[in-house]
Amino acid sequence: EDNSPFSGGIFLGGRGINQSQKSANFNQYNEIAPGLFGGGNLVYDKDKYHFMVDGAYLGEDDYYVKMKGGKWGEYKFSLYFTEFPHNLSFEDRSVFVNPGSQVQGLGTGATATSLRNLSTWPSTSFDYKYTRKDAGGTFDLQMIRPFFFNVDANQLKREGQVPWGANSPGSVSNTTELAKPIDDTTTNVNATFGWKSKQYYAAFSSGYSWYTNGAEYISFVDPFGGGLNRIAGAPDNNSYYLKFTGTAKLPLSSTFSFTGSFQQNKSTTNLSNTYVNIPGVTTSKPSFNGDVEYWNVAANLTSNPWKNLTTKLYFKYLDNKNKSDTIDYINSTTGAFLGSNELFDYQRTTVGAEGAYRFTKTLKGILGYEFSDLQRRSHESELGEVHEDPTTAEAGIPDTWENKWNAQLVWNPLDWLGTRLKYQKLYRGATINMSNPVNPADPASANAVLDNYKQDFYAARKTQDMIKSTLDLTPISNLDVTLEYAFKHDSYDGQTLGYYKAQQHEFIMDGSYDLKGVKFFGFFDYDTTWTDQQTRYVNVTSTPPLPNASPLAAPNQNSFNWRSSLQNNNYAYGAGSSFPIIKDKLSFIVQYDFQKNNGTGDFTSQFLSTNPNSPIALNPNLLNIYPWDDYTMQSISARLKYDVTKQFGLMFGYIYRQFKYNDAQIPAVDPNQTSATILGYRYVMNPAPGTVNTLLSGAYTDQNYNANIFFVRAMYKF
Amino acid sequence: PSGVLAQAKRGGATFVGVDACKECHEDRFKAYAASVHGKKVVPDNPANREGCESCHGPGSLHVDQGGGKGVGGMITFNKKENSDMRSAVCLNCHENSTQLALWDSGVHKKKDVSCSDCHSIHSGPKTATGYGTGMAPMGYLPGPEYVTCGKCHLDIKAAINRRSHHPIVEGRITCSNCHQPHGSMGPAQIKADSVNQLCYKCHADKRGPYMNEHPPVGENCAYCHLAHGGVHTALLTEKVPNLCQGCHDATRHPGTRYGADTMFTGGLIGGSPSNKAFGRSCLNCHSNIHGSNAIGSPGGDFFIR
Repeated sequence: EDNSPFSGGIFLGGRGINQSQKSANFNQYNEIAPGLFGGGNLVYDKDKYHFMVDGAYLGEDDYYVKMKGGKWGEYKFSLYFTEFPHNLSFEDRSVFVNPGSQVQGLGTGATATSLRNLSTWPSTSFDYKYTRKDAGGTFDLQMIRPFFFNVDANQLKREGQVPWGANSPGSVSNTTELAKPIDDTTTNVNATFGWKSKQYYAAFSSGYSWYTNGAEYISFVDPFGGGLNRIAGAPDNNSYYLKFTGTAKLPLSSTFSFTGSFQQNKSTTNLSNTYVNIPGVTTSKPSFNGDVEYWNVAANLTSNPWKNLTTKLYFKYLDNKNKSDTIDYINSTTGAFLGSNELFDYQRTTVGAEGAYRFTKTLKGILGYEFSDLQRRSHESELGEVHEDPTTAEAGIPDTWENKWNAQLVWNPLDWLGTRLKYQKLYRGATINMSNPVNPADPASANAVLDNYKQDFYAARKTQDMIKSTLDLTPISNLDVTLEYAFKHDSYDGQTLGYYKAQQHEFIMDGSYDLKGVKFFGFFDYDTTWTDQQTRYVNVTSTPPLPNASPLAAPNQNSFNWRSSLQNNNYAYGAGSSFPIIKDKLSFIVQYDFQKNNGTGDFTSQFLSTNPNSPIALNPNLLNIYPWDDYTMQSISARLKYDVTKQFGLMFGYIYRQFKYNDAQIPAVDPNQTSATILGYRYVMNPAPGTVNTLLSGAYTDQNYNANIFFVRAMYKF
Repeated sequence: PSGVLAQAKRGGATFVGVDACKECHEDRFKAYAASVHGKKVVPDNPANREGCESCHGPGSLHVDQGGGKGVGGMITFNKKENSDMRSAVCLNCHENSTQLALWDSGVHKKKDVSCSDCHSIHSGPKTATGYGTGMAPMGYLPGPEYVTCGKCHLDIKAAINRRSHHPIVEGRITCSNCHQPHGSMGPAQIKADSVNQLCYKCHADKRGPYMNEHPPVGENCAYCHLAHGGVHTALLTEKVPNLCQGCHDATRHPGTRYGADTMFTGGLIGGSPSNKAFGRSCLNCHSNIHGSNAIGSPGGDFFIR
């Protein structure tokens, strides 16, 4: 029997679930449901040929079939068909009678006023979810050595619906959350041909990808009286690339590696489809042709010039050229220019050097330095060009450059002790291009003044310190423990508005112990982060006192600074054990995992008021947000495995899972909610009595659940 | 024999053959024999050379001295052994692998990670199956990829288990879908020249190109999203609206104080929270935040269409 080229196994099981409430969160990427399940695998392995197929859950939303095979040393291939859901939120409700369709309408007689009464909403209950069906394969030809060729292709299809905010054309303050359909397909084909020897490697790759969106445009009737309107989704697009990668072994145990690539992404959109109900506006071109190119070049030289020293020099260049159309918006009556789109290019150049020296058999040091320069440019149509010097970055998206040093130490002084320590320092500079001097007390100049005091966090001047230390311990045989501590501190230098400080500490412990077949394992993680930001509130439309946009100016009710300190404390731990009850017959595995996140938004405001227009003193504690992505997640799993024979086995399992979510933005739905007593989540928001400005659908309010899962699985191996 | 094995022979050891190894290491031998390394039909395989000693070195001294871990100069692939030496044993046959073309450039080699730290050739299952997980161990890894990688990348192991994560622990994607552990010239050993070019492979709807661009989006997805997992919805680095306020402060609502008093409980402003902060906050209106092809202002340019 041992000589049979066939082997494999099948499994069949049954599952029962007791769940407190329907929750997408329980099955975020799965389709765990009561009933039967099964799957198996088959392996053929004889002489030079091999083949394997593995699959499970056929007919369900999370099935998979994976095959691979080939002839050793000559070729190999794989094929796969997989599907899985992405469940976002269940049992949501919509003001539209046909949520998830491409044309969404209101019920007969529905008005914004009547919509306040939830009983008049359509009774439709729907789920926000979509499935991802992926089918593909690879083929790798090895028999033409030293040449090689491989090709892969796949098609990914998504179907379903996601929550989407549809702002009202009638008033920008009004908005409706609707179920936007997802119906798109991405097809990718890639191929590589090359040559490889011990000395040299050269590979040419190319690929083509195209994306088609079957639900590119969504029309909806504005509940706030704006008539029929439209959302423009992702456009059909295609992308291709050409790439060369080569390496060469050189003297001094050196290796030179080089890669150069070109990628072009293109899309075409008929602009007349993208919007309705914009009276009096035409565009300079009937359609938009998107065209973004990526040019990449990278090279590095690694050397081992003498016994204990290794070095690396590297260079990278990325040029993102946006050659898309610029589109002018024109007043169709007067011909006046109303505005245009703004496109962005950037080029990043990076050079660096690293050296690693082994001082002793147990001690190694690594030093590294990297400089990178990122230039950002924006361009509009000639009519829309507002920058006198197109080579100068505009305020808000400056050029940045970074100097980064790092030092690492790897020290394994004892058989049972290993250590790793890394420190990294980063300085980022930015060309802050202040706008023209303006009067901070002039309401018309307020935004320009604010721009003078803020830097976008991703392009701001910054100093960053990072430390990471790791201890690997094996104090006794079969006991492995790893301890890790990581620290990161970001200081946004010279920042007045926006992020100005961020910090993170993370402590991790991971361990396992094997005591004569009885295994114990455990994990602990504590991650705490906080981010400080400052913002200036400026109300330019109110009655006196006049606002002053400068954050350095004294506050008044129409202009003041406020700070928020955002903190997240996340800790997780888990422990488990697996042990034999009867050797080679009966074994048991049990595991418990817990995770808790506690987030807060601690506010400090220069000017305390319940409403910026009504300067009433307010207790600062009322500003702070406490439930801020707070959650608790825990699970218990226990499995008893009984090997009846060498071929046949049974498994009995129990899993308990719990998730509790508490958040100020998305509180749980109060089942007793009526228009008169509104607690918890709001489907309808009314900024003032008798008015409605927002219609939500309940997205993500279903996160809490308790679930007990029981299963039994029989498995036969041959 | 490779340079490493030749070095091992310097102590005077000679090859003793697989039968001698089998006498004491039967389980190990069986696993080897069942693996591709044990197939004689594959040219240059250990089975066509010195068998076990092709990798572990000549064993005569080991046998003469009565065996034992490392006794007689055997290469045991223990982590205490020099990582370059351990990798050299594997590279002796696998150096021509196209997967390893950029091994010298990669961070794993620099950090003394060797092949045997991840691959366990004696435990490579002949009949690999995930039994319902879709995570059949591949490439002689002892378990699912994320478990193997998570042994060193503890922070990533923690991240992929947070509430908002890519479906890695569910087995829908693997570490090597995005990373090339054997060396790459991209950042973080990703399988693309830049972060966005990698993300677009699965998220082609974000590829555009869009008429109205949101500058950080086209530059680097990682400015706003975590790759592995986090505590905020959609793997965001910070909660909305605070994330948006990291760049946006203007006279309209971006500068408004979104404290608990005015924005969420609504108890102090007429009984209703603000639609700028409640629910999905900024995304209640600015849904097309990755880019828009809609005309109009405010429209596509503010990503509300």
